[in-house]
Amino acid sequence: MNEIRRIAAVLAFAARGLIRRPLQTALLLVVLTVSLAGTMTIMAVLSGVKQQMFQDLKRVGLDVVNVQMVPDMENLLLSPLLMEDARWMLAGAPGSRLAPFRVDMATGADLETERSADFLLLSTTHEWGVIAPQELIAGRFLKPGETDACVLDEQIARRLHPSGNAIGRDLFVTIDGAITVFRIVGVLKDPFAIRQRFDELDFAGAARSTINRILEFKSVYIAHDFSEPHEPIHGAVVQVASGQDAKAAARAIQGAIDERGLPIVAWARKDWVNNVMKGADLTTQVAGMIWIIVLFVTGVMILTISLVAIRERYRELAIRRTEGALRVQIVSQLLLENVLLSALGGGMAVILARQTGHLLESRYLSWPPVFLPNEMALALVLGIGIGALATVIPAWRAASLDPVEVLRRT
Amino acid sequence: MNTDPSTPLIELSGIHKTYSDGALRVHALRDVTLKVGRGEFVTIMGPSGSGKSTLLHILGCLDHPSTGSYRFDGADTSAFSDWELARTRNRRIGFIFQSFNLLLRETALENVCLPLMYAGEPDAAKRSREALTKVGLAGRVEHRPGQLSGGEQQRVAIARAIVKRPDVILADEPTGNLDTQVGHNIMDVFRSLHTDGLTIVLITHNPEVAALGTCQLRLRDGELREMAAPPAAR
Repeated sequence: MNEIRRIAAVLAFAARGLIRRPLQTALLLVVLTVSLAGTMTIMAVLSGVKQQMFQDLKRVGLDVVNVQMVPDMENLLLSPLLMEDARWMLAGAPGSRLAPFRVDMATGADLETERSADFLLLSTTHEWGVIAPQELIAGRFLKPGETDACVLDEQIARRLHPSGNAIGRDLFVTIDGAITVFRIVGVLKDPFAIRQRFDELDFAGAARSTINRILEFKSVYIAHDFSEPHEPIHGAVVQVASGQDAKAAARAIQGAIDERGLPIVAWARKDWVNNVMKGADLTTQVAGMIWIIVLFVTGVMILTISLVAIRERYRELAIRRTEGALRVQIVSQLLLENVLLSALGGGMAVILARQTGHLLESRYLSWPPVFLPNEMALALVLGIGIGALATVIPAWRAASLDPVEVLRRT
Repeated sequence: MNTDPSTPLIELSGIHKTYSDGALRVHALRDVTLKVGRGEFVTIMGPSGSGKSTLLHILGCLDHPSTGSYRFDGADTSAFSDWELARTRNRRIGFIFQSFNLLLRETALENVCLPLMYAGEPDAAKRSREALTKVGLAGRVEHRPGQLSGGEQQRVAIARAIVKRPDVILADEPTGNLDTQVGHNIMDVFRSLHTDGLTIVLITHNPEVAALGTCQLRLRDGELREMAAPPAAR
């Protein structure tokens, strides 16, 4: 009980020291709070991006293997892969289901809205909607044998029909000069919710283009009958059987392809997702470096303020020394004051960062910033550590001064 | 603490203090020898620059002599560690300065609590209130120095010196910044403290104040020359 009372007295003493110097306290508090809140918010926004990206990417199907040609003009023209190749391809992944596809560059137009768009025209079977399911905003996916229908992805639908009413409209598609009409039966939700916001925010330069390149899937889906064994295809999506590892399946398929020396690659979407997330991790690491620089600058600012503040207290500290305070007690007192202040600043920074996060989410972001407990704790510990480090040197210097000399001079 | 009452509380022997400023050497104290017994009221008078404050700082374990020996209650202070010096200042020596040396942001009570806080006294506040009451400031405990008159500030300083129940009080020109009447009041407090049995070493340039001492010394050019007090004191 006595110990608790003593600790409370020491803390109260330190708190009193802060309250009695409102200007210095406020200045230090503002510097600490703003810098810590800023770094916490940045980290939370980046963590939010990562989390949102991961959620988006998971929707593309983690049990799916993509099989596609190495994308060059020769392969597109010659299509070295045929429908019948599906048999040996799936031999290494028994129980898998496959949806073949062909890809053409096409232009589509709506005569009523007089709007057009370029896109990838993806000819596939109705099974695509089962193997690599995507959320629909409106309508449905293609039915078996439905050759006059198409499904748009969200971006194309928005471009052609900004009012949002695309279902049932005719899409005039031009492929190699020939025009075909498809009835729009469905609009797929953009699996990458985060992309839309990046577009709207109009982030300049590399960041936006990189993100969009990673997430580029602007397509229109039409149904095609791939029953002819010699029909060339550009690739396929393969859903591995339940309980089977998609990465292992991708390796097995790739092995079979390599045996035949075909210019085709097979990759598990799970691997792709991991690679994208590694890229996001790298971004976070760069942000972490920036964070460290910000904290270092904050530390220098606090050190400067502490130096001035402690210099202003030389006389007070000399009086304390005269009255029997040990050097270590003087240093402890100043240290405790700053640690208390840093802890307070850290607490305020948490609140400020959370409020800023809410504000950003409501006004500018489509994803919620994620305040990870370990990052918050790290920010708090670093904040308090910086406050302490920035105090120790000037505090020890002040405590080592000759009190008689200080009192004589002041 | 030495329990032998015959041991002088303060014993200076052949103290020299020299300050160097480049090639210039200033002899602040020359061969100062002094004994102060318990319960004595020693006044040391001297003009400015005579070494009074230097002597007091050495007596208060705030400064070290260049040569010579200083024994406090029988213990050689030159062998004291920083911790022992601080502990001696904290528990056994009360300081009173001409400029009061109060903490301006703290209240009178907090100022008086200061040494007890460093000593880890659990009933610091109670004892501090008693000390302030003793110097006639019971109604001013929550005032800050800026809200007190010069005389009141010096009383706070006296309360801070006596609250630790020290062996000796070292006072450096305690009435130097006060007008005559207030100075008399302060000296009444000192007289009262002496009557209570406290040992006091007081430095002044005021002969009227110096006359209050049971032992009166004169410091000139760093030398303790004149001793107008009873010889038994030394």
